[in-house]
Amino acid sequence: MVRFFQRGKEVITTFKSCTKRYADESDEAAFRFVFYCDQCASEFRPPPIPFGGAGKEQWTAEHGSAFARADYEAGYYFYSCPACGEHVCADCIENIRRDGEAVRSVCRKCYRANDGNRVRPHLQMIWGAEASRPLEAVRKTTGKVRKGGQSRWAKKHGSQV
Amino acid sequence: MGKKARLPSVTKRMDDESDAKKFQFVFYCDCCGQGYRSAPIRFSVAGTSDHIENFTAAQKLIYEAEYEDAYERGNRNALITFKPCEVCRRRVCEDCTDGQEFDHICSDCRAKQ
Repeated sequence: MVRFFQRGKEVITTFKSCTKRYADESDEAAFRFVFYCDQCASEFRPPPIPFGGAGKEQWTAEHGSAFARADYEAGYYFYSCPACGEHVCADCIENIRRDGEAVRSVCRKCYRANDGNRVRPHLQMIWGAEASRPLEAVRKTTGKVRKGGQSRWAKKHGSQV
Repeated sequence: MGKKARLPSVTKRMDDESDAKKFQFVFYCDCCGQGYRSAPIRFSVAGTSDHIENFTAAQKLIYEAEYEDAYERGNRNALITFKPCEVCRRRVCEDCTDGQEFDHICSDCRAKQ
C-alpha cells in the first residue's frame, strides 16, 4: 500500500497480487516488492527495478507497471496448487505418486488433508473426469459450477462440468 | 494511472531491432553477454512504407502504443529466460549457472567463492 498526495487529496494505491500477501518497499530510487508464500510466508524478492525519471506523476505511472512486471515474475516463482489455487513456494509442494497415474504436485495443506484428488472445475479438462471428485462434491465446495445443471457450453460439447 | 511509463530493461544491455514492420528486441546476459532475441511482433497497421517518418499521424500513435506493449512483452520473456543470481542479483542465463535450479549462482560469483 502506498500513500501519497495528489492535488491536495490523499490517494492510496493497492494492487492485486498473485499471492495473498505482498509488501511494497518502493522509494524514490527503485521499485521493490516482496511477495510471500501463501502457506509458509517465505518471501520472494524480485530484483529492484530502478526509477530513472523525475516527478510524482511519472513515478506513479511507472509504479503500476513495475508492480505488474514483479507480479508476473512472482507468478512464475510460486507454484499454483491445482487443488486449492494458492500460490506456494517450492518447499510447500508435495508429490502424489500412484501406480498407473502421472505424478501430481499439490500444496502441503491439500496433501495433508488428503485432498489431492480435488480438482478445481476449470482444470478438470486437463486431468480428466475420472481423476476428479464427484460433481456433487465439487458443487458444495465451489460456487463456480452452475446450479441449474449443465451450462450451455457443456451441453454443446458434452463435458461433465 | 493515465500516463504510460516505459520501465528500464531487465538486463543491463538491450538492443532494439524494431522497424516499421515489426517489433523485436535483443536482451543480453549480464554475466557472459549471450543474447536472447524476443519473438517478433508484427505492427498491426503496417503499410507499404519502410520508414517510420512516412507514417500518418494515426499510424504513429498506434505504433507508439504497440511498441510499449511489445517492449513490455519482450521484457517479460527475458525475465523468465534470465533469472537473478542469488549472490549478485544480476540477470544471468542458464549456461552461467550450469543449469542448477536451486543454487542459482553465476559463474563469476562461484569463482570468487
